[in-house]
Amino acid sequence: VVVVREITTDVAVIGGGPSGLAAALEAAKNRVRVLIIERDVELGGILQQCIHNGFGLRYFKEELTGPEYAQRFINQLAETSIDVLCDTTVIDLKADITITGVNKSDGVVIIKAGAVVLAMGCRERTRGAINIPGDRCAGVFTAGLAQRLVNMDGYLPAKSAVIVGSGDIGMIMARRLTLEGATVAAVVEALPYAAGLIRNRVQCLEDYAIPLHLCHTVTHIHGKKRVQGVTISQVDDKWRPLKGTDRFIACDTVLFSVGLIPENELSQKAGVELCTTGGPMVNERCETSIPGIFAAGNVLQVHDLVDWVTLEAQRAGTHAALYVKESPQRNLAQDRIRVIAGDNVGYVIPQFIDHLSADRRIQFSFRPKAPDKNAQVEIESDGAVLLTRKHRHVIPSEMINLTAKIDPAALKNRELTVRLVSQPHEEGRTA
Amino acid sequence: MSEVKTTDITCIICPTGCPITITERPESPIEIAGATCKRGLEYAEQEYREPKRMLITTMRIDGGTLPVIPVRSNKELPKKRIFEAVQYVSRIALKAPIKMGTVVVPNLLSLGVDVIASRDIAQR
Repeated sequence: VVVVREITTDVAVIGGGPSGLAAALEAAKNRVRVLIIERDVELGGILQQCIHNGFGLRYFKEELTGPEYAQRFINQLAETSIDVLCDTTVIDLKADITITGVNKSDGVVIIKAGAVVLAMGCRERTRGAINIPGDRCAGVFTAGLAQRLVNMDGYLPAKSAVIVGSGDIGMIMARRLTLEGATVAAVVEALPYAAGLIRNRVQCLEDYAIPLHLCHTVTHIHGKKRVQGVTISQVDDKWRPLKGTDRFIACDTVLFSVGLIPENELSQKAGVELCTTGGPMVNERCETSIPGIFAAGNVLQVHDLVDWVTLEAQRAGTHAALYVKESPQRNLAQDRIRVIAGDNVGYVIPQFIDHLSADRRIQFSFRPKAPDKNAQVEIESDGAVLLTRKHRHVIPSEMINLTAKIDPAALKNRELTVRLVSQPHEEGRTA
Repeated sequence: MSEVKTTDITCIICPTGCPITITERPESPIEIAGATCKRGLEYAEQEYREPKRMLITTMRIDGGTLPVIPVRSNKELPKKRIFEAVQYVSRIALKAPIKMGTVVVPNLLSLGVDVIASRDIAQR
């Protein structure tokens, strides 16, 4: 391999989507050299294909489209000295923060950095990931790919579609295809309720009278060259198809909106420890198990609101810059405070608290395992409840973010548990 | 002869998704039941009288780095005009370069709503 280009920088950011943009901008505020490496030809990431509105309500206090949200950060970036290497795919990351990228003009690029922020985002689960049997014909896409084809490339990949999964992207694509003149014959969901936001169920499906089949799945895809239709069947509570409930729906396209997976192949190459979210284990600074390697955004945990991606990535960017400037000593393993997911909590980020700053504020994010109409968040240490916060309605598809003051003197051991406790229903609250 | 008309609406203001029922009786104000907050009441009334939505689509663009540009309306328009609006703007081809926020279709279908570009598109 002939190396034609070597770059040194202070903070390298892998990925130029919302997370990478926010991390880079915050890092640069600390007067360090910053380089973003992006595999697409432009910055903005998946926001560029999410042309619908609903972004930025928390961060900008206004309702923006995805491209607008991205453009605001891209415009800010233009005012800084942050370097950007687009059209460059990172193929390797080492624990000493040596990054190998490839692109058309340089061939191989080696980047040596003092710290790195992993901001690679996530990718969609495919037909293969959920094992839908049938023919291997053309016309099977993930919802996000179809979204890119319609919204950025100007192609309509369907005349009539069936969408598998009622996540937000699936429902938004149902509306988008309908507006562009295609027919959406059905949205098929194995759960007994729509997986995405109520707002999307109403405004994307009900507005256009698109049938939503709950407790159903696609059991066969039919087609010789192109998809000709699908067989759908009702499923039981363990998602097993029920005999005699199958029926055929004609369509030329099947879209899958069946979940997202944090994209961590590079993290694994560096030896970063991963956890049950599929993302790295991090401390309150978004620092992974390897000193100097930070992670934020969907590579860490799949978010439902980009605003929280921005806030998380800002934290990672700041601490990556401070790491380069101050090379802080890490806590010994026995001094770390372990954060544990308790009752009805799927996971909590951060998994560790290594440093408590002067204000002792820690940002926790977590997801409920099951819906609850009247829950209370509790943070507990060895039987002592340090904090309670009421939450009227929790559902697995909505992440909970919580800032808590942690007093080290109140900790009985080096463990904190975050849990959701069901509360008795208040009178007159049920509709 | 008295005619009672009821309409069911799912509130979209927050994740609770209250089921709201609106009842209209001749010569009396409409009754809204099921909303548990003020914003929900307002939403239900608007949704009952004249449902409105944002226009969110793409338009063709010539000479740009991409063949289409995402656009949106600057205000909501009546839901029943959305299809017509999408078809109308799809027939117009814009020219690169365009900056975010540029009005690309003023006073869309005489609705008093402008269509604006959602991002920059540079010249190819």
